[in-house]
Amino acid sequence: MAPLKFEDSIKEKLEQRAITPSRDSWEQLANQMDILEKKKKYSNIRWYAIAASVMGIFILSSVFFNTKNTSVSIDPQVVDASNEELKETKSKQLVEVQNTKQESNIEETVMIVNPKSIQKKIEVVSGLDKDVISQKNTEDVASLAVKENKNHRIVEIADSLGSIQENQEIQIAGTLISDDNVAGVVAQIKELQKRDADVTEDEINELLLKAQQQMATQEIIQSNTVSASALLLDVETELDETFKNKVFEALKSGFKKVKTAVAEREN
Amino acid sequence: MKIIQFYRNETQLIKKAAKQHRDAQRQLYEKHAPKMLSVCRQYIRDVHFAEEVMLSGFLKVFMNLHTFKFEGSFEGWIRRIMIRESISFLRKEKEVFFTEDVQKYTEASWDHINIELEVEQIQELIDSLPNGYRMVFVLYAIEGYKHKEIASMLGIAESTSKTQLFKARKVLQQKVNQQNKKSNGTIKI
Repeated sequence: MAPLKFEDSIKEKLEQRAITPSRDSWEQLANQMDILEKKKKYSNIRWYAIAASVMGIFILSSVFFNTKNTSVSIDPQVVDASNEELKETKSKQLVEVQNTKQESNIEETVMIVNPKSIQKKIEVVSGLDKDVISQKNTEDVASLAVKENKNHRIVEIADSLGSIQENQEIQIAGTLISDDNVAGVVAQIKELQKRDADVTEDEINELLLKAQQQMATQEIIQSNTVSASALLLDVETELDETFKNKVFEALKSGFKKVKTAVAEREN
Repeated sequence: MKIIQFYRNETQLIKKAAKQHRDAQRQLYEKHAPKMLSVCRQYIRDVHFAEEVMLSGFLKVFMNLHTFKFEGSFEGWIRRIMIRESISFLRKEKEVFFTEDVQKYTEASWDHINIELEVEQIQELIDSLPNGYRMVFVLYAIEGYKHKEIASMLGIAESTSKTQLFKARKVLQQKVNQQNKKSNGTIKI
C-alpha cells in the first residue's frame, strides 16, 4: 500500500501545481492561428475554383456538342439569275411551291412563272447533288421541275421579269401537289392572263393557297381511319425529336404543315 | 449563483471561441494554460520545450473546438490533447525506448517515507526516470490510465506497460530511499 500512498501524494501535489507561461506565449499562439486560418481560406477558395472550372468545362462541352448535333445541315447555293431586262414592271411574280410526298421523302419543286416575255431560269439545287435545271420560256408559263430527292432543297428562283440583280435563296417547305393540281393552277393563271394583262401577286397567292387547301383535304379524305396509338406515337416522337429532325419532318409531312415561300423581288 | 454563472460563462466562452473570437480564445487560454503547462512539464524535462508543446496543443484545441460536445469536462478534454501532444513530441525526438522483456515483478518494498517531498523534488524524481519509464509512470500513477489504455496510446503491449511501470517504481524507490537516508542523516527542525 505504501507505493500507492506515495503515488497518491505525488498525484495530488502535481495536480495542484500551475506553471505560468511566458508573456508572449499568447501572441505566438494568435499568430499561428491567423496563419492557419489564412491557409484554410485559400485552400477552400482553391477547391471552389477547381470545382467551378470543372463545372464550366462540363457545361461548355455539353453546349458545344448540343449545338453541333442540332445544327441543320443546309447548304445554300446561290444561283445567278438571268440578265433579261423586263419590259413590264408590275407583273413579276414567281411562285414556287415545293411539293413533298407524304410517304417518301420526295420533294418536288413546282415553279410557276409569270409568263409573257420571260426568261426564266429555274434552278433547283439540292443539298447533296446539285442539279440545275434551267429553262427558258419566252411564252408560257409553268415550268415544272420535279425532282425526287430525299434531302432538303433550297430553291432559288430568279425573277426575270424585272432587272434581276439579286439572287434569292428560298427554302421551301413541302406540300403535296399532284401534277393535276399544278396543271390546274397553271390553267387558272392562263385564264387570268387572258382576262387581264397583268396578274397580280395576290391573285397568284390566292390560287396557290386554294390549291394547297384542296390537296390537304383530299389527302385527309383519302386517308384511312385515324388510330389513337398512331397519334400518341406521333406526339411522343415529336417531343423527342431534335430540332433538326423536327425541321425535316415539318418539311416532309404534307398533313401537318403547309408552308409557302414567295419570292418577291423588287424591281 | 456564482458557480452557475461561472459555468454559463464558460459555456458561452467556449461557443464564442469555437467561432474564432480572439477575445474568448484568449480568456480560455489564460484560464487553462498554467495547468496545461504543468501537465506537459510532467512529460518533458525542458520547460521551454514543454511550453512549445503546450502552445501546439492549444492550437489544436482552438482549431477543433467545434468538435467539443460538452459531454465531459472541458479541462479533461484539453488535458487529453496535451498528453497526446507531449507523447508525439517525445516520439519525434526519438527519445522514447521501451524494453520489451516481460518479467514477473513483485511489489516494490518502499521504505517508510517520513519526509514530505516538495513539488520540485517530486518533479526532479520524475525527471530522473528514462523517458519510457516516465511516460508509463505518469500515465498510470498521475493521470489514472489503465495498462490497456496506456498500451494503445503508446503503441506497446500491455505487458510492456506493466514492466515499464515496475521498473519506474523501482528506480523511484531507490531515489526516495536515498533521499530518505540523507534526510535521516541530518536533523530537520
